[in-house]
Amino acid sequence: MSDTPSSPPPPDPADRVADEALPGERIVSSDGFVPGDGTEAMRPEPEDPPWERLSPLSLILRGGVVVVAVGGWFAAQLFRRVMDSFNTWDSTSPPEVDDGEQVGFSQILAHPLIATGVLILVVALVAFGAWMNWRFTRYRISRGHVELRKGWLFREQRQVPMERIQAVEIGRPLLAQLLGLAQVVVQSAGGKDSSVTLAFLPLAKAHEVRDRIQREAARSQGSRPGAGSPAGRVGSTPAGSASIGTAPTPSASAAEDALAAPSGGVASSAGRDFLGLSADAGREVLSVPNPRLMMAAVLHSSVFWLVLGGGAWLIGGYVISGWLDSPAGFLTTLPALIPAAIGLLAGRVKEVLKNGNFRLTDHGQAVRTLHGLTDHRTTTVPLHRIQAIEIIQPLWWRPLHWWRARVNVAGSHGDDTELVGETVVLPVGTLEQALDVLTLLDPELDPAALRTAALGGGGEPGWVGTPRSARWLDPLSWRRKGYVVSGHGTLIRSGRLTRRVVSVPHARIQSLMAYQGVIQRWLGLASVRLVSTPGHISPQIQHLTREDAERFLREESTRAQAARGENGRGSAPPGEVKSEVKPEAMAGEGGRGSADMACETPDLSGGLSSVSTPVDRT
Amino acid sequence: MSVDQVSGLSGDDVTLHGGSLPWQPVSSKLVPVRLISLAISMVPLLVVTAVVAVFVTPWVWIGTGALFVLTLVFGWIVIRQVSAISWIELDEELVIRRGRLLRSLVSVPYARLQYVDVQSGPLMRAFGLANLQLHTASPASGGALPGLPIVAAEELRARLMARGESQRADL
Repeated sequence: MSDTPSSPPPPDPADRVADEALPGERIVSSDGFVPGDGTEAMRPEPEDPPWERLSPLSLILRGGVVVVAVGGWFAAQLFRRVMDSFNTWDSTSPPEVDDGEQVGFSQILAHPLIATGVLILVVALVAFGAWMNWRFTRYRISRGHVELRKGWLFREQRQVPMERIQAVEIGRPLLAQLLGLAQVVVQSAGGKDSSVTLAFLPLAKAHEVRDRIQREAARSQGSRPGAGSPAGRVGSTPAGSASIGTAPTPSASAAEDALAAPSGGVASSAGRDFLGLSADAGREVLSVPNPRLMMAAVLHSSVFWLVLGGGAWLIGGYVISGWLDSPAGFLTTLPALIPAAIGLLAGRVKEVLKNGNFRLTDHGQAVRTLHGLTDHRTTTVPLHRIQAIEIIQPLWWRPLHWWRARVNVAGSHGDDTELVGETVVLPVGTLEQALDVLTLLDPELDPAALRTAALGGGGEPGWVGTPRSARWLDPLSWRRKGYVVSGHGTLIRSGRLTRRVVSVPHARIQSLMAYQGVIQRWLGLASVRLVSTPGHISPQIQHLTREDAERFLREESTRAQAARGENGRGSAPPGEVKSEVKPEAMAGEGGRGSADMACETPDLSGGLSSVSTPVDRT
Repeated sequence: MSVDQVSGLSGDDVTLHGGSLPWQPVSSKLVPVRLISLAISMVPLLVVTAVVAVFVTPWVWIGTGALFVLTLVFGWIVIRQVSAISWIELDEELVIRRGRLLRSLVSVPYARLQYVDVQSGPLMRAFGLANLQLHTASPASGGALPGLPIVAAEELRARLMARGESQRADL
């Protein structure tokens, strides 16, 4: 879609009203029939802007295609019946129905006038309900809050205080793009239900609303003396780590909120974010051509299994039907494969939709990914939040020498799969690109070591591998498994078919775990987990000798402690971006054509790590 | 033990099993607690199968017998499990070892502790026990210490929190 919003055909009174923005007056009078509850019935404060309405077209969008389709189907049925009844009426014979069974509804409907009346009534009711719904859905951006109230029979009102706003995003689902609309999602540090979605607005209006909210949020968050950090980032202030002993309850709850917040550390942001990153586009590191991405999406194990399963099905079916003397009869069973094929296709298409138009830009303290074939998204990954990095090469990509790179980011949540999925920093690329990305994300990584880790088969100097006895547990890749330790972190290599390399900086390890199953004990083996924050990557070294595992655990524990000491105590880790909100940075950034998702949440982890909650839950 | 007091135990001797460190066991009262909860789940099954065996068909006695044997096996496992749990407070981390068949060892640095829970259900409380649960930024850390005497658990929690605060590091 272009930047210019295609203005909806009918004049939009709500937006007119809103755009004129007569403070207060207008809306109050025009809302005479809205039963006021409390504040609204009062004459608003002089500075309170008026309530505004969403685009009427949003009714179609929010109902979604399904409602339209179902409604359409019913309408078609009804219409046909109406037409039929006209026909039967015209014929001289009365609408005698076959068995007399259909007395009742259908017979009543058989009368053309009644049928038409019912049709009109249904349409009118639906339209009225929708219109009332739209009419009663209003939002307001006042000084202190973003407010949304909706519901006609069942009222609902949501307020997000400006100082709790974490991110303001513009989302554009495909249908919305077709209609020139966009939704504004206001996320706050208060769990999943604390976000407010304004769906939908004309694109230009959405940009304007987002800018307005950002300005207000920046002002209210910046105006709190000493608290440069918005809620949810309380712990990120230097004081957070210093004054732990007296961690006040608000910060504790903020941290817990942050835990529950859907937009953890991976946040997507509109042009600028509360990290204080400049609004400019940054240095482009790489972009992934869409054809390559599609190719990579197709080269997936599910496709392989479908082809294999389909082939087996055909051959088996052919053989059996040969026995049964009905050659080619088995072809009729092919439709049974369709559901599997559809499911598979959906997964692959989703992959392409998510990672299409992928670009990675470097902003110094953070990298940002722009992705999404139809729904453009921006995801900002602050470098100091990265907990673990992984590159992976599925077997099917090996002939093309492609790799994928992902990160674990503190604060991003495991239960929100979409969000976790956004921590892909390279959906598909060459090993050189992957190494570039990795060294960009973690400058201390050594490309040569990474290359060895990626391609090596085992036994390189410096690497600690698994003993020969591990072949009973892992006949394929025991030789490749292993780790190497540098002053900065641990590099773990595994997988012979699907090659995998995980890098975990010493300073980022949460805890360490060694375990030993029964068979491992017989073979004298043990595995070690380097517990990272929740995410796709769960680093572990499998099947070391027990002595190696125990030694690694002890030494890594010491190394992690030393690294934490350098990094964390008393001061913010290097590279930490102080979350001071820069109002001017926020105010800037006009509409970028692509609906950039907003993002941010700089310092969940800071908040997390520095908050103590001595709650006794006995 | 006060917070400032340094135990002087470094992690240099941490092993999955055995070892020279003064590993501490959990309370042996955890055995009856766990046996009772095992009985609570198994006895109704035993009764039901016995009733069926008496009133319907004696063949079901086979099932009852199998269940009984299973209960005994579980009971034996419980006893062995409890005696396998041990823990130690080192200078920088709390280490918990568990399991005989499936051995595991969790090492949670004090610096990574977010908060520490002490929980105690009615059965546990009746025996004066509590569970200690360590929380880091990752739910996968799995630092749990079952069956400490309530007072000891409270003290340990206070100690851990104090150490956590003095050593805490950012992510």
